[in-house]
Amino acid sequence: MIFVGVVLALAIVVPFIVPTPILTYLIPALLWAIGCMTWNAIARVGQFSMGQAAFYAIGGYASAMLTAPASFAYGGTVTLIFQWPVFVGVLCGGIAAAIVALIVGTITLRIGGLFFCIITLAFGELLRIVALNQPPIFGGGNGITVNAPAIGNWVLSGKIPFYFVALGAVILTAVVISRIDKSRLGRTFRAIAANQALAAHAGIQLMKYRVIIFTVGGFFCGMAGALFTHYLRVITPTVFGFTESILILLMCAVGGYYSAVAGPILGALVLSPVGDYLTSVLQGGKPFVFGIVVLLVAFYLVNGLVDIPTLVRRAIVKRRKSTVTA
Amino acid sequence: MAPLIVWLDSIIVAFTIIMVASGLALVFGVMGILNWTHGQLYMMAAYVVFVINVQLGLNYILSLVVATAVIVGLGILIEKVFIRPVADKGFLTASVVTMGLLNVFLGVVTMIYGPRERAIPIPIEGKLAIGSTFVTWQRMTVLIISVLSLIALYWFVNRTRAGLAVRAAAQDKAVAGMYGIRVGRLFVLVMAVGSGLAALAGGLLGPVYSLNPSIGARPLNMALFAIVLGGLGSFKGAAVGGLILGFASVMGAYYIGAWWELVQFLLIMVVILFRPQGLFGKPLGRVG
Amino acid sequence: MVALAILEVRNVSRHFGNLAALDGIDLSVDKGEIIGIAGPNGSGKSTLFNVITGIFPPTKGEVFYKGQKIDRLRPDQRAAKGLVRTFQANVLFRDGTVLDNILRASHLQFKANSWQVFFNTPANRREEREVLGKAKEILDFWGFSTVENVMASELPHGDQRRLGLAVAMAINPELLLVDEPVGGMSGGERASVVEHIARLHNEGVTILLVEHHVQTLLALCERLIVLNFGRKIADGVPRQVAADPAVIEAYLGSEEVA
Repeated sequence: MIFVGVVLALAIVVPFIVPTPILTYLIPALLWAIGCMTWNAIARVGQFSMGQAAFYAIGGYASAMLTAPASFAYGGTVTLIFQWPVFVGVLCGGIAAAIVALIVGTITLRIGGLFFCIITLAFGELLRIVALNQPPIFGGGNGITVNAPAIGNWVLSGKIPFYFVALGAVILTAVVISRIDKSRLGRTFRAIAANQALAAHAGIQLMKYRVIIFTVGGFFCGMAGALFTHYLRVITPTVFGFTESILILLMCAVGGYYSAVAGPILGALVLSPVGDYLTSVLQGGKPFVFGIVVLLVAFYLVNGLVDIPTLVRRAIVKRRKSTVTA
Repeated sequence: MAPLIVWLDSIIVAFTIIMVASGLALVFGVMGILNWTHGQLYMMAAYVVFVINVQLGLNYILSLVVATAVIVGLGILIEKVFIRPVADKGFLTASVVTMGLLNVFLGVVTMIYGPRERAIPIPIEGKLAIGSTFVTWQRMTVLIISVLSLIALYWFVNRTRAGLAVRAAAQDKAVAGMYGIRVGRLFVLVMAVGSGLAALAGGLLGPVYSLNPSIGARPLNMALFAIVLGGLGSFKGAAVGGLILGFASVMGAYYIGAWWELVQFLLIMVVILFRPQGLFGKPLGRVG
Repeated sequence: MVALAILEVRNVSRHFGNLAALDGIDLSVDKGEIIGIAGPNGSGKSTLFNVITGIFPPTKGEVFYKGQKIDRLRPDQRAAKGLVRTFQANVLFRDGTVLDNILRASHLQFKANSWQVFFNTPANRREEREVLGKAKEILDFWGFSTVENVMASELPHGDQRRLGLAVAMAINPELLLVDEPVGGMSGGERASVVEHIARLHNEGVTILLVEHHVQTLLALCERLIVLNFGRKIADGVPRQVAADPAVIEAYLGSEEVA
């Protein structure tokens, strides 16, 4: 608990002590961390979703459409202008993504396994195509431009306020995911992941629990996607695609699967800034370095970065033991 | 009645999907893992053809052969160095490793050749008159080579001893081991065949469509959908799935335009709903 | 007075392609019986269990449990009605401790809904304590009290199979299908398992026991059924069945006859 407190304190102080450009790397990292936590949670029920980025897209588009300024007229197809406040839009983004997750999950989690993997992948691709080809409602290739979030008259246009919004979202997600993991729900998920047949024969309704965690995951991804959209002030069809879904998985792999919250957050905080920096410096550098890091972790650091303290501790103990016997 | 070109393109796309899907299905069937680099093998073969045919000016067929050889070699290397150590560590670990490799390949190609699209001049000139339309020799070449390679694949899987070993291993790895089939050798073999097919497909279609580092994603996705549609354990399924998707994508684009991908996705969902194991797959136990 | 048949298998067949793993099986189990099922490898014993618990539907025929046709029910729904089984392989939750295994299997005993669980309401906490208490009783019954926090995968083989039986007990069976419980065990372990199964039976659980080890079958079962090539070839008092020439011939050449 002390550890968590220290980290939190650090997180709150960080934006005031680092130069602002660093925040441009931190904010997306925080928002990706949310997706990573959801991927991890779904993995802990034994399923691998290749479409979490798609829920970012849904949340982003939903929020964009509900909060877009008057200049975006849905291409003339819809005369209603919503122009809702941004935070309501973000919430609705989460809800929209959750509803879609519920539907897709109910259909595809019946089979699960490789099929689920591939269908979620297909789903992400599908969304991209639909968004790209239907300009009037979704803004086509140019997407939808939106406003910065505001509370009443206070517009959160700076990096620092937005950092806290993102941090708040991460903390909320972490608390929920962590609570689920520690509760009987988490125990049931682990049972399903460890031995599906035995779990079913013990009376556990596999579908119910898979759909629950997939829907919850969808909600948080939708929320993160909406926040992302308002941070970038625009959403286009290409921002949340198959590549991003893979990157979420890779961030989780690097951070470590065995912890519900620390691993995903760590993975995102390490890889996302590195990736963004590389993209600005060298075309192709990001996928290359990501790939190398992932391979290194997979072969040499099997439990992910989260394992480092344990490994260090073990190394120290070993050295102490050997000096004692010598 | 759609013009001949649309039919021809449907067949070409269908066959190339079948080539890529079969390669993927072979590896999955025998090794139990999904090789996410498969699409990048396709892409890199196209770049090798570009380098040899366009930049070095050598004969197209020669460049195809070289590309296939290079990629097969790469595939074998990948299998020995990256996949073999993790083959028994589960689907996720192997997926993570191959996804990492996917990114490495993507990154390397982007760094060397840049992310821009490259125009490749059509390697084979001239047209052939069929009935009232003209068909380019390029298309005919793609068609002929893909047909030949699929026939070769069929012969390999169904008429050679190695193919029998592959089918046995796909059914039950432990059993295959008992019959003295060296599982390690088998892994290398299927990777080689799979990579070769992906490479041929990439080399053939590279010039026809476009060349940029991201062209590996589409074949991989289509191959995955074909396998899901046709059924996981079944090579026949991959073939049928590929046929359906090939025709659906070209005909669909011709008749419906931009919405055909939505239709395709719905089609896959419907099939999965009513026949979760795909059209030809084994029935799944009803645990969930 | 007619005893209620707790399980009725009527003319059940199960085909895989052209192979009939089960071929016209008729079986009736009364409440409170303890019945053995024997047969050479490949005779259909596992498939019979799989059909009864709902992993595969029968290709022909019907299964009735407590008078109700259950062919459309999933395994978890059947477990909720008291139809429980053990597994021959893949017996446990390998990523958990001994206690974890029992707690996970106690799932049906929990009544709190997901919201109560999430917010850890007093009702939820009370339930957790109660179920934990019952879990410890089960562990005690099977002799696992001292190894509660040991990883299930680290237990010796025989103990793992006994834990599988403990896991089944946590699911509150009325009809328990036991799949080869004493495989690979020493004489002492076998005797312990036999004693515990007998005690379960005395507490009112109806038991269907698949086993190769003949002594175990003879020690426990009131009735013995023998399968061969998916068909029932004998059904009656164990000693008579063991002497039945058709049964002996079915086993000729196989090594299961103890």
